[in-house]
Amino acid sequence: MFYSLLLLAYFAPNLNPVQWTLTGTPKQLVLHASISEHYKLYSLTKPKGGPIPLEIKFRETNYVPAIHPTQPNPAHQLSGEVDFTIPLKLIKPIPAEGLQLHVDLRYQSCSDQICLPPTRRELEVTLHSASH
Amino acid sequence: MLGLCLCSQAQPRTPILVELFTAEGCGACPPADELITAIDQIQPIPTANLIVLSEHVTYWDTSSRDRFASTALTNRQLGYAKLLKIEGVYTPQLIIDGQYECTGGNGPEAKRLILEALKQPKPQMEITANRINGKIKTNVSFFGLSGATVLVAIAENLAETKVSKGENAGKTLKHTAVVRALHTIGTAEGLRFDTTVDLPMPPIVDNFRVVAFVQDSKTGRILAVAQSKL
Repeated sequence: MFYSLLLLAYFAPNLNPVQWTLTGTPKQLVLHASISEHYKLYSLTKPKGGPIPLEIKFRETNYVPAIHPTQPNPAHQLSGEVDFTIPLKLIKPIPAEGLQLHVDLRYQSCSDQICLPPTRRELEVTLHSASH
Repeated sequence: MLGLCLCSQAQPRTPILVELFTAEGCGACPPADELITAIDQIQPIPTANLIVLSEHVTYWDTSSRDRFASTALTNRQLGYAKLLKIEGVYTPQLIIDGQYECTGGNGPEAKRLILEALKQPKPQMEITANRINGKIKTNVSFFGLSGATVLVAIAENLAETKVSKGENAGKTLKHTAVVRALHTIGTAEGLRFDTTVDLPMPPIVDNFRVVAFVQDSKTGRILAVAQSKL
């Protein structure tokens, strides 16, 4: 073990390894995760025990009471560029000035050398009705 | 690892405090736990007396609890992040003499930072500790260092856990110098600090060590450190 530690290539810890963007239409949002090299994100499917799975919550539950996001594959850990798809079923019409949705994320990520505590991010997207 | 040394004659060793922030729920931590054990046992740098502490943090206790983790230790790591101007916390993380940090399993970088820390002179510190009537009677003394905080950690020499959940499920993890209690016993004032305290015995069995250290609360730097193994 002592000598195997010498053989590992160490890299500077990246304490913000996942960059998020949120885009979409009134029918569907796309949450994009850009995960830094060497790192993995614990996905929506991560079972209980140990690191938390990705959590996605909307604040405007009066417009979006429930969501069922999906990920490109069922893996518990994801890496690289990943799109999460969030179909939307708005229960009220979008106001003329647009609808700003706020999304709260909570997630954990690790490399093979470090693990980060649960992290929170807040994202927002503005939707406009098709007539605008 | 840090590199072995076969020394032909005894050299004076400067005590250096090596703190490992770790967690049983963290998949990247077992190699760092092994490294800290090796540092403690091998003492690979001939001019250094490497005094180690494993400090388990709570932020991995999302679904199963690390029995060694405490909020006080998590807060200690957060304090280092602020003092050392690090963007956040992570595990495993090594803090060398309160001044330098690196990834917990990175032996070569730890060695470089220990050699850097060795450049700072340290006054001698004396510690005696005895188990008496369910308490740990501890005496700490040193000269100088006025204004700095004096802390005492009680650490289990060797601890083992068979992990049932999470990233390390199925593994038996071995830890060295696991902090079970951390007490602030005073502030150094005047020329000499000489204090005896009766510390409560944490819920551990036999094998433990008492580590005393003096820390500059403004910079985090460890100004003196000593240990007594019971």
